[in-house]
Amino acid sequence: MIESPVHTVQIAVAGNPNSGKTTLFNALTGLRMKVANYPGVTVEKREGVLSGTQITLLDLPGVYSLSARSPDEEIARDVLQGRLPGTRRPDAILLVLDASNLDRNLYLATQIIEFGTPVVVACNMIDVAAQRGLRVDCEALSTRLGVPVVPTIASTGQGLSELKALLIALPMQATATRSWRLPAAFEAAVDAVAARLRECGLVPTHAAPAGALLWLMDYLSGDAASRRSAERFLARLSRDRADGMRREAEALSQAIPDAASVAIEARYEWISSIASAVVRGHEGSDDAVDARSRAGTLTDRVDAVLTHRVFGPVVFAAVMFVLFLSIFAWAEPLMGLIEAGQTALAGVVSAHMNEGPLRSLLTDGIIAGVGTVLIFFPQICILFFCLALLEDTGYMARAAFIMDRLMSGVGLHGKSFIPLLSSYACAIPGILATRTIEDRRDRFTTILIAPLMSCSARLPVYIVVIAAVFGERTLLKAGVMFSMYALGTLTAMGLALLFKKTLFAGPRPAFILELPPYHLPKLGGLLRTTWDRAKLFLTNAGTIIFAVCVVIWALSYFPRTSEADFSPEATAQLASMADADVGDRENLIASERLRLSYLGRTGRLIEPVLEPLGFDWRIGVGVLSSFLAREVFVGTMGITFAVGEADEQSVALRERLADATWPDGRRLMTPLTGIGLMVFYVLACQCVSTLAVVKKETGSWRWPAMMFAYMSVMAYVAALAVHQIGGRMGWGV
Amino acid sequence: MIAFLDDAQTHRNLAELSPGEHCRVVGISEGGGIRHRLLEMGLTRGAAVQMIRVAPLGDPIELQVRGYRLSVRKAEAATVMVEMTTHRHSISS
Repeated sequence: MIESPVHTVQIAVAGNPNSGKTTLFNALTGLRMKVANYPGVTVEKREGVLSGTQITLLDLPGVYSLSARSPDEEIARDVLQGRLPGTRRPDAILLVLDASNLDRNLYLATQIIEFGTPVVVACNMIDVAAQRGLRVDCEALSTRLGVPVVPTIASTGQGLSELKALLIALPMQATATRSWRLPAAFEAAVDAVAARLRECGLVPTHAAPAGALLWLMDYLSGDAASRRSAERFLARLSRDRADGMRREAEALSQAIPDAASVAIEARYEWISSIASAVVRGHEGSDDAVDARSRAGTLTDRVDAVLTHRVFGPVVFAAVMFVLFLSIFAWAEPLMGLIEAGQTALAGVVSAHMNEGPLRSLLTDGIIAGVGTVLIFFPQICILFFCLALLEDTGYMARAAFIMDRLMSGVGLHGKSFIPLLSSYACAIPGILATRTIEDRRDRFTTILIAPLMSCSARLPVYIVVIAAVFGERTLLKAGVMFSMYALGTLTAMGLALLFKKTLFAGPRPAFILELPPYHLPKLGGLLRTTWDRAKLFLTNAGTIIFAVCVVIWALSYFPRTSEADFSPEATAQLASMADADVGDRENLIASERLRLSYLGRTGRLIEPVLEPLGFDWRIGVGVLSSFLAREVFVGTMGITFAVGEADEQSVALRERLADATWPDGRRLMTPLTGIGLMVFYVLACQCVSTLAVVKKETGSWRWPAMMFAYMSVMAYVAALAVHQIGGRMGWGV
Repeated sequence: MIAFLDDAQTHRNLAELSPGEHCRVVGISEGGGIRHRLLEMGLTRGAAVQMIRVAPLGDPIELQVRGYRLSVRKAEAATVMVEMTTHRHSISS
C-alpha cells in the first residue's frame, strides 16, 4: 500500500443502492473528482474532495449487505476493512440511509457501525419519507445506533452544511459494539474466530468481532461466491490459523444448522425494534402503510401504466425505440462531423508535407487511428446519457422487470436486454452497458454474444454487397437485409443457451431486484455520469484501438514498392493508359501497391483458404483489413478493385464488383458469394475496438481471445457451408 | 395430523398470491445463497408482505416488504412459505 506523504483524512461514503448516496457525494464534493476502476474489476472508483477541506471522499459501490456475493459487495467490504490493495482503510465512514425505507437500510448500516470505524449517518430523503407519512426521529436513531445522525435531502442540499461540519470535526477514535445477541454457541464461535483474527494482525483489534461474524457468515452461507471469498481470506493466513478458523466454522454449523440465516434474522429483529421506535408511521406502529397503499403513491400510479399488462410493453417498446434511434440515428451527424474533420485534417497534412512514410503514418496511421477511437464517442456518450437517465429515473429496474421473462428463456437476465439492444447500434456501448448485471456468468454470456447483433458498421457492407448482386429487386433486397439481422440475433440466442449450459454452467442466478420509487433526475448529475464513463472509455480502450490502427497501417504500407516491382499485367495495363487518365493510373498504382504490401501478401497467401468460400484475394484483403474495423471494408474494396475512394453509395464500386471475375473468367460476385460474404460479416468478430473493450471489462485477454476464436471459426464454417452447399445445389451461381 | 392439515390450508408460498393479498413470512424452504439474499432483503420470519403485481409477461412478481418494492422470479418466490393475513392482523401483532 502506498501512503501519501501528508496523511489526508479519507472518508468512505457507503449506503444502499437508491439511497441518494451518489447525489449526496456529488453535492459534497462539487466538481473536483476523479473516476477510475478498482484494479481488475469494472467497479467504478469515484474519489473527490470535500469542498473547502483537505478531506477526500471515496464513493463506495451501493450495496445491500457486506456479504461477498458480488464484486460490488466484495469491494465495499474490502475497502471498509482496509484489505483492498491500493486503497487505504478509511478514517471514517459517511453512511447514507434512505429514510423512507429504514429497515432494509439499517441492515447494512448496523453491519458497518459494528466495525468500530467512526461513522456519521446521513438520514437522507426525509422529504420522500414525509410524503409517505413517515417521520424519522433522528435524535432517537442516533441514541440507538451510538453515532451522530443528520437528517438530509441531498437533492436540495438540506442538512449538508451540518453534515459537513460533523465530518470535519469527527472524533477519530472508534468504539465497536454489537447491541444484539446471537445464540450462545454462535457467540462463542465469533469470539474464537475474533481471537484468531487479532493474532494474525490483518484486522484491527476493535474490528475483529465484526470481521469474525462476517467471515463466519460467508463461510457458512452456502453461496459459492461468498465461500470463495472466505477461502481467499484464509489463504492469507498461516495454515494452522486457517485450519483453526475452519474448525470453528464447522463446529458452529454442527451446533446451529444454517447459522447464517439465524444471524440475519437476529439482526433484523433488532432492526425492527429500532425502526418501530424511531419511525412514526412505521408499519409496526400504526396503519400508515394501509392508508398509503390505498391512496397510492405517485410511483404506484405511474407503475399502474408502465408495468401494465398491455401498456407496459407498449411504453417499453417506445422507450427502447427512442433509445435505439438515439444511438443509431442521432449520433450519425456527429459521426459524420468527426469523419469530415478527420478527412480535412488529413488533407491539410497531405497538402503541407511531401509524400513519404511520415506523411502516410500521420494521415493513414495516426489521424485515422484517432478517428477510429473518436468515431465511437458520440454513440457512447449518447448511450451512457440514456442509461444514466433510465437508471436515475428508476425505469431501468422496470425494464428488467418487464423483459426478464423473455430473457430468462435463453438463460439470461432481464438486465441483459438493454445491452443487447444497444449492440445493434454498436457492440462497444452495449458491452459497457452490461455493468449493471451483477451476476458474473450472466454478464459474461451477454458480453460474448453482444457482437453478434448486427451493428451499424456492418450496414455499409450489406448495402454494397446487396446492391452489387441483387440489383434493383427491392423486395428481395429488403428480405436479404432482414435475414442478416435475424441470423445474428438467432445465433446469439442459441449461443446464450449453449454458453449457459457449458462455459457458465451452474445454478440459475436469482432475480432479486429492488424497484425504486420514480424520481426526477438532475441534468448536472446525468452529464457528470456520462462524462466520467465516456472518459474511461477513451483512456482505457482508446489506447489499444489506436495502437492497433497504427500496426495495420504499417502492414498495408510496407514494403514500399516502385513500378518496377509491379506485376507484368499491371505494368502492361499502366502502359496502355493514356497519360491523361491520372485518376485511373493512381487507382491502379494504389491497388497494385496494396497487393504487394504485407497485408496484400497475406491476402494472397490465404487465398486458398478463402477460395472455398468463393472469395478471391481482393475480397480477402477487404476481409482481413476489416478485422481492424468493419468500417474499412468498403474503403479497402475501393482500393483493391481500383476505383479509388469509395463509400457504400459508390456506383463505380458496385458496378466493378458486379463485373469482377476470377482469372478464368468465372463471375466473382455471384448472389451466392454475396450471401456467403454477408454471413461471414454477420458472424465474424471484426472489430479490434470490441475486443479491446472486452479485455478491459473482463480483466483478461482470455475472453476477447475466446470471443475472437469462436466467432471467426463460426463465420468461416457458415460462409463455407453457404458456398459449398449452395454451389452443389446450384443456387445463385 | 389435524394440525398439519390446518397448516396446509393456511400456508402457501409467495408465488401463489394474487395481487393485493397480504401475508406474513413463515420461512424459506430452500437453503443456500438465494435464501440468505432473500433474508437480507428483509423476507425474514414474521415480515409482512403484500403482493403488488405480476410482470406483463407473467414473471417475475412485485412485492411490498419493509416499506419498499422488491421483484423476484416466481421460482424464488415459491421457496418462501407464507401464512395469509388480512392487513389488520399484520399490524395488531
